[in-house]
Amino acid sequence: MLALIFISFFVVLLLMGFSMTLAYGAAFIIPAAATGFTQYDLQSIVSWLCKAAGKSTYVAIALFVVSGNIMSQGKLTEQIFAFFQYFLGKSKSCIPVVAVLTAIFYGMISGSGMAVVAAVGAMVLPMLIDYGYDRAFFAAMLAAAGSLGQLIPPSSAILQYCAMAGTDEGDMFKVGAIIGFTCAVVLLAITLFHCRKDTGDMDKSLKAYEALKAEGFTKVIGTSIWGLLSPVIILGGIFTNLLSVVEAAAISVVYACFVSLFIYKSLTLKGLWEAFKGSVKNVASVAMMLAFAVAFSSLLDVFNGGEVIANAITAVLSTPTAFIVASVVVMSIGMMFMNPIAIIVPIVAPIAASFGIDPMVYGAGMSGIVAIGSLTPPFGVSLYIMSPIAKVHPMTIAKKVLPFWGVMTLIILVYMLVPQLSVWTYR
Amino acid sequence: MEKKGFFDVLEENVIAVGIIIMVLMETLNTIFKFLVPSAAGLPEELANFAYTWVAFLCASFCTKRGANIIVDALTNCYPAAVRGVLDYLQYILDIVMSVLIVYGGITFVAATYAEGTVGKTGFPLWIVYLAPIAGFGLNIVRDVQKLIEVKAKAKTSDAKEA
Repeated sequence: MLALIFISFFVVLLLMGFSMTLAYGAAFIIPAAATGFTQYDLQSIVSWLCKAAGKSTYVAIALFVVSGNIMSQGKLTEQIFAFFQYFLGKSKSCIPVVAVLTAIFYGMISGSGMAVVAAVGAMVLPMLIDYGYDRAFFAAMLAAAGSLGQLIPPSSAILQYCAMAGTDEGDMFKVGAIIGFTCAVVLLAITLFHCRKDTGDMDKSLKAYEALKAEGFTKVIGTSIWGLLSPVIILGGIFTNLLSVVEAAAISVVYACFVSLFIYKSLTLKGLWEAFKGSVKNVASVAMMLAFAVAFSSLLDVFNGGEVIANAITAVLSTPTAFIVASVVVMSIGMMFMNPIAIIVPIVAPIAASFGIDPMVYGAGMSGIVAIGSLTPPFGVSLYIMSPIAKVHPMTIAKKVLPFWGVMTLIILVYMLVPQLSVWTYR
Repeated sequence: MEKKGFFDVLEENVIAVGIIIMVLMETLNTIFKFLVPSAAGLPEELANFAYTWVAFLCASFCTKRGANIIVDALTNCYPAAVRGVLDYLQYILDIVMSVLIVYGGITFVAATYAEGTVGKTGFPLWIVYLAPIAGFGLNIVRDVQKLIEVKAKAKTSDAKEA
C-alpha cells in the first residue's frame, strides 16, 4: 500500500502534470479507496489536514511574508539598504553580500528556514532585481542562505529532532551553529565569486552612493534607523526569550505598518490593505500544500511506513559510515516530497546510537539535511516561496540552487563523518 | 479597467481579513503574555484557527488564479491533443477530490459537533472545521468556472484553425 501512495502521487504530479495539492489528494484518497476505507476514511483525511493546517509555525510563515511585503512597499527595505550602501556602496558586490548576510542574519533570529526565505525574499530580492543582478541566481542564493535558518540556532529542526530523539538541544545547537556558519561562509564566498562577473547596474549603484554621500551621515542614519530597528526588534525579542517566533512575526508586521503609515508616510490605509491583499498569492501558493505535506506523516503511519524503513536499513547497512551516508541519502530523498523527520528520527536515532555515532553531530547533521531539504524539487517549499517573489519558475530556481544544495550537503556529510571537527564545541 | 464583482475577489478579501486577524491575535497574545499571563495562549489559538480557514480558502484561490504549484517539465513534451485532454482532466479530478473532501469534512464537522469539542478559548472546534467544506466547496465552483474557460478557449482556437 505504501507503493500505491507514492505511485498515485508521482503519476498525478509528474506524468499528468497536475497540481501538487491534487497529487497529494490522490496519494491520500486512492489508497483509502483501495482498502475499502477500512484503514482510514475521508473523515480521517480531513481531520489530519485540519490538525496540520492549524500550526503556529505556518502562521509565522504567513506573517513574515506579509511583513516583508509591507516593509518592501513601505520603503523600509530601501532605507536599510541605503544605510549599508552608505558604507559599502563603492564595492560591486556590496548589495548581494548584504542581501545574503541579511538572509543568514534573519536565519539567526527566526528559527524557521521557510519563514526566513519568505521574509528576506520579499524584502531584498526586488531590490537586487532593481539593481540589475541575476534574479534566478539570487532567488536561489537567498533561498539557500535562508534555509540555513533551520540549522543555525534557534533551529526548529534541531528542536524537533531533540524532542523525538530525547537528546540535549543546547549541545546540538552548538554543533548546528558550527555546521551552519561553515555553510554560510561558503555561500558568501560563492556570492563574491559570482559578483566578479554579475556586477548589476554599477552606474545606478554609484549614482545612488553619491546621492547618499551628499545627504550626509546624520540624515542617512536618521532616516534608516527605523528600518534598521526592525531586525533588531525581532532578534532582541527572540534571543531574550521575550517573544516566540510567531509573536515576533506579528510584531514585525505591526512595526512595519506603524513606520510605513506614520513615520515614512510611504503607505496610506488603502495602500496597506493592498499590501495585505498582495501578500495573499505568496501565502496561498504554499498553504494547502504544507497542510497536505504535514498530514502525509499521519498517512504513512497508517501503513507502518516507519517500521518498513527501519527493517530495510538494518538489513542492508553494517558500518557507521555506510549508515551515515545512507541516512543522508534517505533524508535528502524524503525531503524532496515532505518533511519526514517525524517518521525517520524515531527509527534512525537508536540505530545511530547502537553504531556508536556521536548523537549530537548525527542529530545536527540530520537537522541540516532537513533545513536544506526545503531547496530540493519537486516539493522544495523554499523554491515555491521564492518563485512568485522572483517571478521565476520554481524549476528554474531549482536548477540554480542545486549546486548550493550539493555543496552544503557535502559540508554536512563531512562534519558527520569526521565528528572531531565539531564535538569540541560541547565536550 | 474591468470592475470585479464581490464573488470574483471573495477569496483574496477573506484571506486578507484572515491574515489581519492573525496579526491582531498574535499581537494581543504578546501583550497578554506580559500583562495578563493567565490569558496568554488564548489569542494565539484564535490566530491558528484563522490560519486554518486561510489555508483551506487558499485551495480555491489557487484554482481561480492558476497559482497552484505544478511540475510540468514532462507534460510540456506531450502532443497538444494530450495536453488538451489533461487540461480538462485536471479540473474534473480536482472536482472529484474536492467533493470527497467536502463529504469527509461534513462527517468530521458532524462528529466534532456531536462531541461538543472546544478549544482552550472555549471556541467550538466544529466552526474551525467548517473550513475544508467552505474551501473545497468554493474550489468546486472555481473548477467549474475553469472548465468553462478551457472549453471556450478550445472553441476559439478551433474556430481560428478553421
